[in-house]
Parts: sequence; structure tokens; C-alpha cells
Amino acid sequence: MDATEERPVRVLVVDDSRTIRQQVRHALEDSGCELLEAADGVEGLDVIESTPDLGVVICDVNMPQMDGLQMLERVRDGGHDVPVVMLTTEGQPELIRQAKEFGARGWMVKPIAPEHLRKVVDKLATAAR
Amino acid sequence: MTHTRYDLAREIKQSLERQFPGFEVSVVDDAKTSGSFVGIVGVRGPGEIGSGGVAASAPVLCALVTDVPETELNMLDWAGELANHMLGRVKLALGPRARSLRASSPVVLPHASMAFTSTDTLYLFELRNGDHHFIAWFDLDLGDADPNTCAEEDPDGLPGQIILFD
Repeated sequence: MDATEERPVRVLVVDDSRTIRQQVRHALEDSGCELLEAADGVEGLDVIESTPDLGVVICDVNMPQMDGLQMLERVRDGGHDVPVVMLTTEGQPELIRQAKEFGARGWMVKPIAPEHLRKVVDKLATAAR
Repeated sequence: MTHTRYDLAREIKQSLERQFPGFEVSVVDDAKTSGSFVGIVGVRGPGEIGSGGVAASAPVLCALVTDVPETELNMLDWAGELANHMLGRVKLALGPRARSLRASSPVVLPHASMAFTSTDTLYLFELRNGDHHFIAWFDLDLGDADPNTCAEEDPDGLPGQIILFD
């Protein structure tokens, strides 16, 4: 195993709910991920722009200041190709289609299913390496 | 055909029963709560405006979440997120009729005493599981939307699932 394989996957969770951020942290830290947190799209964008080796971003849709889809659009406009999965209570086909157009890699409807989340993060992080 | 109050109350009740399988869900005309954590989420659409909310004690909130320590800040946050989850699931259950509704960020209140009385658009529910009980309400007016329009997706198939894009 080389040094690259041993490096933990850095995962950013962007959600205005601290309980959701804690649940994501709990679900992923046990599988060796390093978690970063942001409470809205503005903070999330700052972290993405200042963290070049980010493996996966998990992002809420409805948030104050800048929502998740706006953040996603700004991320792609900025040339970042980090995989982004939306995590939300919304399930409208139009929003899912919009997220796909903006370059999201997936859409998860809350509540969090930790096992599904771990598998998706592992799959996306592995593909990105 | 347009919505009757009974139709919508029944559909919301069924959605709550799916979300909280251990709880008995009752439609009630009046409800009171004291010392509760309250979460409220507003919704708006082109011609609609409304809200949904939950009022629950800290022990009940704790029983409804995992991996989150029982601190006042966490319980406040979770009350808002729970209201968000409930409203999201109800929207999914109502399908195209609620498609245009967008949710606001939650508003939360600590240690609140509240009294509710149902109205033509305010639907009140009590959820009970042994000693645990809490209040949920939805203030929704879907106007002339056809109640026979079903959800396009299985509302129970989406939560917890991840759709991966190609």
C-alpha cells in the first residue's frame, strides 16, 4: 500500500443543521474519513477553495446565505471538480435535474442512512483518486 | 375534484405513520404543549404559503435521533431539522400537488408553551408511543389541486436512498 492509499479521505459536510453535521461525522469518521464542516454555502465555498485535496462534498440544499445548488454552481464555475452529493429533505424531480445539470454526482434524501453514505463516499473518493 | 379537509388530513397522517412507525398518530382538534422545543419550517409556492412544525420535549427528541448528545443547542437544532424532515416527507407524499412548495430555514424556540386549535387549513396531530408523545402541525392550503394526483415517486423509496448520477 503506498502513501496515497493510506491518506484519509477529506470529506466536507455543508449543512446549516449541527445535528446533521454530527450524524455525517459519526457515520464517516469510523471509516477513516477526515471531516470538515461548513454551516452554509458561503462557508462551504470558502473551504472548497482553500482545501485542494478534498475528496467528497456532502451538501444540503436549503440553507441561509447561499443554498446548496447556488454553491454547487459556483464550485463548477470556479473549475473545481470535487464530487458533490446533495443531502436534503427535498425530492422534487426539477431540483434533482438541476443538481445534475450543475454537476452533482448524487442526491440523497434525508434521513441519513449511514451505510449508504459510507459506500457512496468510498466509491466517489476511490474513483477520484 | 378538489381537496377536502379530510383527504389532506388522512394523507398527512399516513405520511407521519410511515415516518414514525412506533408512534400512534391521531388527528386532534386542539393541543397544548409546555416546556417544549419547537421547530417551525415555512413553505411557499406560486400561490401557496404555509408552515409545518413540531413541539416535543428533550427526551422525545433524543429518542428520535441517534449519534447526537442531548445538549440544549442540539435539541433546538434537531427540533428544526425534524420539522424540516416531516415537511419534506409530507411534500413527497403529496407529489405534484406540493411540488412547487419550497421550504424555509427552520425557526426554533426553546422551552415554549403553545396552544393550537385546528382550522380549515391547520392540521393538528398527536403522536404517541408509550410515555413519549409530541405534537406536529401543518398549515397548508393546496387550493384546487387534484387530490387524485399521486406522487410520481414512491415516497418511502426515497428517504435514506442515494441516487447516483452517471
